[in-house]
Amino acid sequence: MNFKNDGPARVNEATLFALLGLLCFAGVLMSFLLGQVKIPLSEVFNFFFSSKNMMAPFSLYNDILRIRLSRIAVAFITGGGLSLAGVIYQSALNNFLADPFMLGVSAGAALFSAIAISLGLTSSVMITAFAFSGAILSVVFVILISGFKKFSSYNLILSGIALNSFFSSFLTVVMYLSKDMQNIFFWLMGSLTVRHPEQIAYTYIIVAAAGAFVLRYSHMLDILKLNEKTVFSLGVDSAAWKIRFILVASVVSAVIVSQTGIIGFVGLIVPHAARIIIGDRHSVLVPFAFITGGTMLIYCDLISRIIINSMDISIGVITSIVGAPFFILLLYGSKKRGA
Amino acid sequence: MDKKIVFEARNLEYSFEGLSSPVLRNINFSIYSGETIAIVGPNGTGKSTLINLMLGYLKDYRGSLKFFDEEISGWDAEKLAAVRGFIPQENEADLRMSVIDYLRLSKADPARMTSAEIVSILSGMGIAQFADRSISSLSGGESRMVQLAFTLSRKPEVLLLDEPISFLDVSNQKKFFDMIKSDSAQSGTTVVAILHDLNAAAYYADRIMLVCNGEVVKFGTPNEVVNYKTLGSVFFTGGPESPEPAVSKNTGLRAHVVCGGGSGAEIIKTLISCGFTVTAGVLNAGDSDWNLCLKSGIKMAEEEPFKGITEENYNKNVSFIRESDVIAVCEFPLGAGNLKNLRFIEEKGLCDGKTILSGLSGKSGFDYTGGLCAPLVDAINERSLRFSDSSEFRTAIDEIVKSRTGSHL
Amino acid sequence: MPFKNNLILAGIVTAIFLAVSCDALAQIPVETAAGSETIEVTDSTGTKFEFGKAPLKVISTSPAITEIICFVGALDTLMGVTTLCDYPEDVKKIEKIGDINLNYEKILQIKPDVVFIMSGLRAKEKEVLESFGIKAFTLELNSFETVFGAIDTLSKIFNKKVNSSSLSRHLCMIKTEIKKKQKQPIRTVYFETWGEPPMTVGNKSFLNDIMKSAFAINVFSDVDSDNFPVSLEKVMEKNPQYIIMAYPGKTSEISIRSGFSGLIAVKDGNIITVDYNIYVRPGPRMVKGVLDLYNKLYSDKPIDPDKIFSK
Repeated sequence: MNFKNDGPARVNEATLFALLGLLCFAGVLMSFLLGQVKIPLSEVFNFFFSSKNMMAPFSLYNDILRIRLSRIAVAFITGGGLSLAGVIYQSALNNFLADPFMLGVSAGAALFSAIAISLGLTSSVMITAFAFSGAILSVVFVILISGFKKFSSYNLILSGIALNSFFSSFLTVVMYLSKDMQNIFFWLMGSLTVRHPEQIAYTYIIVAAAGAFVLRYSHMLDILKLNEKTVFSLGVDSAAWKIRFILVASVVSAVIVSQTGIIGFVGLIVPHAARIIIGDRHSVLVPFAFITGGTMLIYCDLISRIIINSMDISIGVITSIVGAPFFILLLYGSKKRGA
Repeated sequence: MDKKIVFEARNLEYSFEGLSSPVLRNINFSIYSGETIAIVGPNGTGKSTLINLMLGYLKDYRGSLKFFDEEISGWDAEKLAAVRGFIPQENEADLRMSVIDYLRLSKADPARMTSAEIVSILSGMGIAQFADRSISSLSGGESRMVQLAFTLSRKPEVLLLDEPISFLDVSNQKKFFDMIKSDSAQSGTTVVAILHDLNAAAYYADRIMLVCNGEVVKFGTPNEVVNYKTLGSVFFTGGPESPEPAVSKNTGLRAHVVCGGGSGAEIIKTLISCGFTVTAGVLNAGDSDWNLCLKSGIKMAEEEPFKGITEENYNKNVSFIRESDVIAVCEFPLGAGNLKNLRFIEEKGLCDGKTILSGLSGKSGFDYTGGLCAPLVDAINERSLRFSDSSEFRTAIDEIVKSRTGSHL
Repeated sequence: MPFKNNLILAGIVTAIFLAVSCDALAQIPVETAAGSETIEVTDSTGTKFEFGKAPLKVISTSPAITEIICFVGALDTLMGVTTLCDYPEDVKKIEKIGDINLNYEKILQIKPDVVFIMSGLRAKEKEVLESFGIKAFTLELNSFETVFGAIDTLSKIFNKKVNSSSLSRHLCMIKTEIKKKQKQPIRTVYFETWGEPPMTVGNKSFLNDIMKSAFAINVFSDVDSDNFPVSLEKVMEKNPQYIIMAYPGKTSEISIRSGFSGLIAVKDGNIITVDYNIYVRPGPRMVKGVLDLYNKLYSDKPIDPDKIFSK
């Protein structure tokens, strides 16, 4: 955000990234140190830098640190990925209330994972695969339905909402009829504990690929925000680009939702906050939102792990508690600015 | 040297989906390379639609619209983008992005311009100081200039503008169009702009296209187009149609009405219905009384809209008065511009033998001359029969007719 | 040497004393409501109820309550149960009046004399039922004390002979047997009630009571809660000797958890699955649960169930 006269004091973009990085690092460090079991800094240091300690089996601290490492890695990519998807949706659909789950991603993932669970599939790989397919199918479906009329953000959003309701009602029926209602319910609530940590690697790869695409074409996201006729006059096919971006964002949301369930508010709040802090230029907004989202979820995860003795509160609860008031603040602030 | 034809429209017609009557019809024109064209006309008559067609944004038209000899509906969007630039009616979106970054977007391609290049473009337009400003912090005028920089940086051969200066103050308007003109002069750019301001159109354009009710009413030089006859018939037919006054037996008497601002409507109607041949003046084109006279075919001494009464028109007025039997002076707002309308009273001998009927009350509400009109008003009122409303006027006229013609109506 | 003799003597005396007292407890006569006086009973919310005669038509809104009603011998009065009620077998034939949500229309159709609800879960339902003029009797069921109390209350209401005394006697006998066999330290247990997310119970749960009576320490008895989602880190820190898996699944799902390989329970192969049906209801089978749990934990010195329950 190196421009004048709009927003807080003119701060160099580099400085903002540096501050954010610091915040993130602090969050990661605290996440290693804090939890239901307090681990001294020296142990953390050893864990990373002393090779023989890494190999030592049956050390309580090491085991716990390994768990925390996995949680942090999942939290970061989940928060980052959802925020990335959120920025893309909000820009491509030109709607500040868009979130990564809007176009049927959450409903499709939820419904299909519920079907998987009630079919008796317990393998998390299978459930993830089902959820992912459900998410992608939903998005494609939404794009096709809204494409019957002239392609527009408005139609897309409406179709997405319609599909979400439709699938949600199906989901309720499946949950009700199945004896695995509890399983489905807990899956939906969202959790950062992944059974097979190797799966995180896949998520990182997919999100990285998506991020690379978005960065390469970040100026297109900028252009899509201009006046519709201006965009046309530049020779840019706005419909085609919107679909491209939406598909990329949907793949990201689908991958994340299928692994961690539905974690709300992050994909909605973080893009806003990032925009307020760093402005609308996507080549910096996208990475900033990504890191902010990852950091936010790391802190939320930390809170969920330490807030009540012995308990591990569902992450969705924490993001709601943190996110809801922030959301209200944002709405209020944007109304004042006349947005 | 044969100039290239940039736009050529033949029987161009366009209707919006679902509407039976076309928004534009029977459009024919040719626009040559290097010209600056202004499209003017009343609101809602299809100007924006026309420019959207020329933009290539609307493709389902009937007839033909060729851009550089090829049907515009057949042009590839990217090829169009390479030769043609556009500024929409709206200011740019509420973007929190610096002007430099915004301008970088104009190439729509990662092979961007360096900051130095952009700053030099901005300095060329005299707005280098905007470089670091956020788009959302710019005022209307500043934003327009930046949009212009955006478009010009792409070096288009053809520039299409949809009401580029409508919300700018005069000095900004001048800055904006001067910029376009100088760029166009240097590079031979063809400019087509929708303008609301006729003065600006007359000043900047080589030719003006007057669009009304979906048709091109006139397409010519400013002189040909911007006169009150052409404009009046287009712009100033509005408001509820006043019914044509009924004419009874012509009495052979002539009356001249000095009015304006609607004050003469009832008077003129009464005179006509009493069989007078009516003249009026001096009226400014666009005035509602002028409108009425135009419709009713009443001869007038007319003046350009918003212009003060010239000597020539004053004399015309005087000659009308000379020919009349009755002079009716209505109560209309008096200003420096039309004060001359009362000066006929100073002409020696002009009013001998004529009846003057005056509705002037001398009330300050009608005095925009700072009291200068007072002696003239008094002079007229001294010599006239006074009336305060149309029924009194009617009664007076009846008397006059009776006495002059010796017959009843 | 004399010290050791004294110890044996003390043990014998204690055993005799316990045996006698347990037997004596069983002899306490049950009050029979002779004649047709109205019975006044207070439910767990403090509301007073009057029953002129034993109710003929009742509804249970909870599997635990269903078991208790059947236990005191009032199965024939049970006109409506939830879809989750499945014990004893006979209740499966009874008309279903809802699950988590109650079907008020059916309840009204049945016109019960009283509807039994469990405290904590059904506060809203109580209000709705009362607005229809139906008696809603609340029972608190979260410990041996409250469960036995509820059994006695229902026994009184239905005018039955069977009450909690046999259960408390059995429990007493189990405890005696345990005392007899126990010379080694008490074992620590992590009782997992659900796998994803992992959940366990704190000291407000009846399961905690069961564990206490079964000579086991719930590693999370310091948490003032019923069922809650647990931090696996904390489980690792507490390092329980035994892990009980009280839900359907394979023990490998637990042992495979990252970091769990260092736990005593995993190393010694002490992850035990149980017939969780006994453990999900705060009802008469809790006592069975105690014995079952004890035998699972101390499989080297089990107590023969026949020894207890045949009496």
